[in-house]
Amino acid sequence: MNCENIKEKLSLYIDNLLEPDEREKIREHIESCDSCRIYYDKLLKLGQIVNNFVTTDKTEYWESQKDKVMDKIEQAESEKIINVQPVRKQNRFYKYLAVAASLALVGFVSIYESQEFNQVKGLFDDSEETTTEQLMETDSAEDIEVRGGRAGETTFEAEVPTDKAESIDDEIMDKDDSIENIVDSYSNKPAIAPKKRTEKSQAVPEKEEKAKISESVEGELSVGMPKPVQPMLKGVAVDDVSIDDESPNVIRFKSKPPLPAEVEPLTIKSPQPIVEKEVGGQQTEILYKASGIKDDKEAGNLDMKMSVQSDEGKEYMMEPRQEKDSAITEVNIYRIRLDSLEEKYAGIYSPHYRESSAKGRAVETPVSLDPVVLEIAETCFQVGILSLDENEREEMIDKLRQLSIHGSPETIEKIQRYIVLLLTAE
Amino acid sequence: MEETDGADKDRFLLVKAKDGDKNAYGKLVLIYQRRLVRQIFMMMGRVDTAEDIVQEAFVKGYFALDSFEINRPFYPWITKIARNLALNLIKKDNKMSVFSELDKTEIEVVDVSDNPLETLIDKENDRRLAKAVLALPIAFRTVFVLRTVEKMSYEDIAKKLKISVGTVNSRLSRAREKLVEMLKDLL
Repeated sequence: MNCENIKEKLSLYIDNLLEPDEREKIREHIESCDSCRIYYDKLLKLGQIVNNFVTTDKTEYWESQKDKVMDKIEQAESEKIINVQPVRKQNRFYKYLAVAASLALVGFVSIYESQEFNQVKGLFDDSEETTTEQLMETDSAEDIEVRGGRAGETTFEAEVPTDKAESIDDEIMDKDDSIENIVDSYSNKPAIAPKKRTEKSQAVPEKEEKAKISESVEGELSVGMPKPVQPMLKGVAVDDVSIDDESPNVIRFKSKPPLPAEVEPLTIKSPQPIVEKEVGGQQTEILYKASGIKDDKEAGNLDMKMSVQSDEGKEYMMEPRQEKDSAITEVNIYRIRLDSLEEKYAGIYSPHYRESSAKGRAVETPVSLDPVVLEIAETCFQVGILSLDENEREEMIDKLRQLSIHGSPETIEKIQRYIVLLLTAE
Repeated sequence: MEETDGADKDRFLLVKAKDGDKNAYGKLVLIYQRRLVRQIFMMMGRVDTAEDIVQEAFVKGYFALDSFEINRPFYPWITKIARNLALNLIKKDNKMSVFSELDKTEIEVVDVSDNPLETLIDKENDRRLAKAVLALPIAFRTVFVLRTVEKMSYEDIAKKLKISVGTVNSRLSRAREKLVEMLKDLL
């Protein structure tokens, strides 16, 4: 047997991992080879030294170590809050963060605008590109006024979607608040939030025809926020539609309005266009998309729910678990997601969260909880950043702070960034 | 008998700790931290890092007590937490990565001047051993410590480090060879 190759075998030998016949061969070799026997003895001794290796006997050292553990536990318990202050104190990090935050904001704005722009762009007959700013300038109207109605035609008023949408046909309806209600409900603002939201709509006919419905909350354009309502009315010629100055939420049809026919599929990623217009000759379409509303009945349910829940103070107006298909805005998708995660990992915000209670997860160590924590944290962040409601954002920040207890160092770092981004979000 | 008493005492302390008795948990920390620090120190090579990891493990352990089965031994559980923290750190730190330095087999000159071995290790021989182990390339050291200090099986080590059992064997053998060389006056 080659003495050079035997070292690896000797390692296995002292670990008692060799097959009996091989073990026997090695034993024979050690007995006959001095250098290998010496090496073997040294390996055994090394094993002893390692086994006898002890750390200090000093009680005070171990007491102080224990105290540090207990202090950290106390700290984690009493705070329950990840202290954001140290992060702020780190100048470089904070500067970096500020840059990142503003970049993110710019990103949001540009995504928002580009989507909006794309939606609006199609409205121009001459396909002349007009910037969003220009559009905004012309977007002061409280009304959608579509000129060119044919005189003598019966005027139909339709509001979509409403609880009475089924009776749109042949019926004149005038519910000024219906769309506004839906706006509020779909954006899921808690009832305590000011209901100053109005839907501004404008459509300029002919060549300068510019139609745009923008959402405005307390006079501010909700940059980066998901679009609220997209009620749908497809197949209506612009000429057929007008909207009152006094009741901008009501669309008047000069001919028989169509049924709110198509059901938009539930989309998660991007906000739905508020207004779409296809320009083909003279034909113009304004789409109010109420994605998720499958039928008139459901629209009715929604309306009902809305009012019920608005009495419940901070409760969201829509109950996501019952109304999964009715999610209209992006933030609602995240709210629903968060709800289901919270349901699945009930008690996750508690520092004593019992991992084994996570359904369907064989969790062995706290480390494996990390992906869950991260997922919930990300969802909280999305809700917080997308929500128009200050209180809800604060709620999300609280949740993030509580979550961070379970996170790995990397996750905690991420969560802290989320918190800072939410705190600095306008 | 002693073993049983120990287990009973653990269980007693654990039940109290689960109820939120921090003193009871503190006693558990005192009982087990020494053994745990030894393991983690050998793996990480730095006293301060080992202290941090062990503290972190006990903190995490406290907040995860609800998930701990009272009839199971505490030490393997808390060790697992600490070991995962240590391995995460090794993976994270490129310099220490067991994955990026697979081929690096040179003995490294480790600067231990700022590594207060004296605070943790009383005996000179133990300090010699510690320094020798620290001088091992991280890829070797990790395998060596997991095997000789933590008594893990080759298979478990292979799985943990995502390397083959053959690699575990060869690294372990090389680590032992280098240590025998470095500690020849002691052996």
